Amino acid sequence: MGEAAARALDAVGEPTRRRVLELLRGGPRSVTDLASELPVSRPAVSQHLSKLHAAGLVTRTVDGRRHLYALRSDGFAAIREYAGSFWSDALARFRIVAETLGNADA
Amino acid sequence: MPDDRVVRDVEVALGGGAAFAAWHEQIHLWWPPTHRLAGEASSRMVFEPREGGRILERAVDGREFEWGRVQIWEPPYRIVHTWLPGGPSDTPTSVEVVFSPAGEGRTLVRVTHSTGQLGREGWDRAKVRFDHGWTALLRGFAHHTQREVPS
Repeated sequence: MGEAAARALDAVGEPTRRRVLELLRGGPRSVTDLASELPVSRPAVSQHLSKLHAAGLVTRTVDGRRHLYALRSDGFAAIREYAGSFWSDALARFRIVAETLGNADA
Repeated sequence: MPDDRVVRDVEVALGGGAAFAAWHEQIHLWWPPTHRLAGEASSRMVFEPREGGRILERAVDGREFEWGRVQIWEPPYRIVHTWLPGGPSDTPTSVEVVFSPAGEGRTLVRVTHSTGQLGREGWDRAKVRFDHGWTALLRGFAHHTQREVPS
């Protein structure tokens, strides 16, 4: 699996991070805001947000002294990482399979 | 390149008819073993080769997981199907596979994976992209990791 796909999968593979993404669907939130709705510590929420940011799933903006996190405006950007890697892998495998079996039949 | 789709292609040393046939007949061999919903690498991918046919994963114990449904079936040129790993049918993305000649005995296979559904008019594209992308991602990966998704 490609690096980007692995990061995206890892990011959404954790239930708390998925809960963060669900909360962000309602609009941009600060770390403190999010932490107040999650059963984990504020530093833990920060860590989760860093991972989501590194995976390209959320954006981070500064509002005064707060960092606001938001979902990437194009939700498909997240899927694109995964889909791109998936199809690169799949097509590479397809060529080997098709040419091996095709030539075997010839 | 529009940002609402992913395009990947590969050239294979087969004529178009053979490449098209290999695509749906050999899916159990080329579909990456790391992308399975059944929680075991030994599940088998199945491609039902007709309009309305399913692309599904069948576990050893008989459980089935639907990855998509064929919307357009045009051998040996084109296949269009939805992509909704384990998710509800109202949040699919679309995959188009086109087989075109690339010289004697060679075929270019191009996959375009895009958000939304082909042929539907009048959608607010930004909202569809946002909602469908996120819903598909969250539901798809929740099923992929076999965890609960809040509804």
